[in-house]
Amino acid sequence: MITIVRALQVVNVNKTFFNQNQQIIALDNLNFDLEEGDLFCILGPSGCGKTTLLRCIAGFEQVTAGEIMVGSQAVTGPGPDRTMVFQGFDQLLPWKTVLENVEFPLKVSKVPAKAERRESAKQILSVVGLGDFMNSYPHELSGGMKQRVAIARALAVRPKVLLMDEPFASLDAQTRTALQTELINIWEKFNITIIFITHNIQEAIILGNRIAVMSQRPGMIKKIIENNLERPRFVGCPGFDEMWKELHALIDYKGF
Amino acid sequence: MIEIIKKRAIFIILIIALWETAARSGIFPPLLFPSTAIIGKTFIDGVMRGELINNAGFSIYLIIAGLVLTLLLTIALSTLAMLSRTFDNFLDTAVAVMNPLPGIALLPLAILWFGTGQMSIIFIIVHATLWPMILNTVTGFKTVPPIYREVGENIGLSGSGLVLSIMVPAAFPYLLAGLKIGWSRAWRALIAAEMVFGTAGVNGGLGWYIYKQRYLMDISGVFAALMVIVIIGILIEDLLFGIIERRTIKRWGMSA
Repeated sequence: MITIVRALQVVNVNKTFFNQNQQIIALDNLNFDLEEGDLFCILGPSGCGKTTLLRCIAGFEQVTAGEIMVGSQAVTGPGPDRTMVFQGFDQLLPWKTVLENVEFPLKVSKVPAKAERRESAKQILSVVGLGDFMNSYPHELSGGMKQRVAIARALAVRPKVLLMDEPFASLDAQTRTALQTELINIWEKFNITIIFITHNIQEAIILGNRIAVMSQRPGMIKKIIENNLERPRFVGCPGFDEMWKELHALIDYKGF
Repeated sequence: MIEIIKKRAIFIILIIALWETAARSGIFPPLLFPSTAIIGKTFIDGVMRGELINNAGFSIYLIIAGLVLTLLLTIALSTLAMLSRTFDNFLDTAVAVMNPLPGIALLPLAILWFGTGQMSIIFIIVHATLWPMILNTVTGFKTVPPIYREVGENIGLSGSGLVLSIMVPAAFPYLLAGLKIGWSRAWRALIAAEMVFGTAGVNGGLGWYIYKQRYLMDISGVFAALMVIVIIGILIEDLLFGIIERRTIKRWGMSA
């Protein structure tokens, strides 16, 4: 008998915005669970509310109704058990070096010994391939390097769930592919739970072991697909085309 | 650094040459328009006798005392404004009311309240610098990109921890610009206040020295003191602020 540990539960979540007396339903009755070690992709067209959902999970936004549980704790606000990697390249603190950026969350989380923080940050930075850039400042790095540092920073505190909001969307195609491969390596190495938001079908297939397709206005989960394609995955690998067609048919592009 | 010294040197030499030409032409009475040689001699004499150094030292001591007080008040008041909307509104009004009021206009009141001592001058300096510094600091805080705040909250910062670790460094370009404005306003307020105090018979300070030399018809002495004011100004602007900028916002790739 295997007990399945739920890393994250989204229960009847609704989110409504009010804009000049106009009511906008961003999220309409969302339900899903994440198991520990999931790499859960949320796929949907822009404006479908997938970022709003992730911001609710991160605690930056309050849900209008329903509940989000991490382990056995309800989400009430932001916290280091759910660290976020944002889309923009401006998420690193420019006044800190690469190493200091990664050490900083450890300091805030009260890891007492400086040597321990430093060692831990250095180790994670070498995992993401930035061992040689630890003393650089963020403005000296390329976009891809910045996103690697952001991943390292988010991982440093060993979150229960890693939240990724289209972190590779602003990268060129080659860098994006390289970082997808690296993310898979990190995921396998650290055995972490990840929610990954994307509007890119290809990215969802290559990364996710489950893919939730969201529809827009109101944002709802249309279907959750198990993705058991063999890794390493690439465009055109066995089963890729069928899955791409299935996902493409599910996404409604109305109005875009 | 070398570049700026060159640039400055060329113009300073040019001005000295023009001055000397005007002085030698005999158009102006030598008493009111002394030659550079006489001014230079008076300057060196003043420095050797310690008069200029002592007076400059006293002025700098007052300005540092005033600026430190201003800095502490600015950090305290601006932090409160970030934490409370009511206080923010109050501070905004206080700045709007007090900022247009020239420090020197408050001097009669300062004399009544604090007497003709150092306290009055420090009061005038604090008044001259506090409001522009608060204005800049609060603007700086408000223009911090929301993502830095969210990154801070995400790793578990809140309240004053968030202000000190995220908002202050993120707003640093504005803080530094505020400090520069504060410095130049303090310098003006100080010299003006010292001149008035000279008439009230208090010893010390460059403003007082200028006033006294004029009284003694020692015009080259007045120019020598003006030279000291200019030299201190250039040293602070180019050297001190230049070094701070290179070590902070330029290294970090930030600008206001």
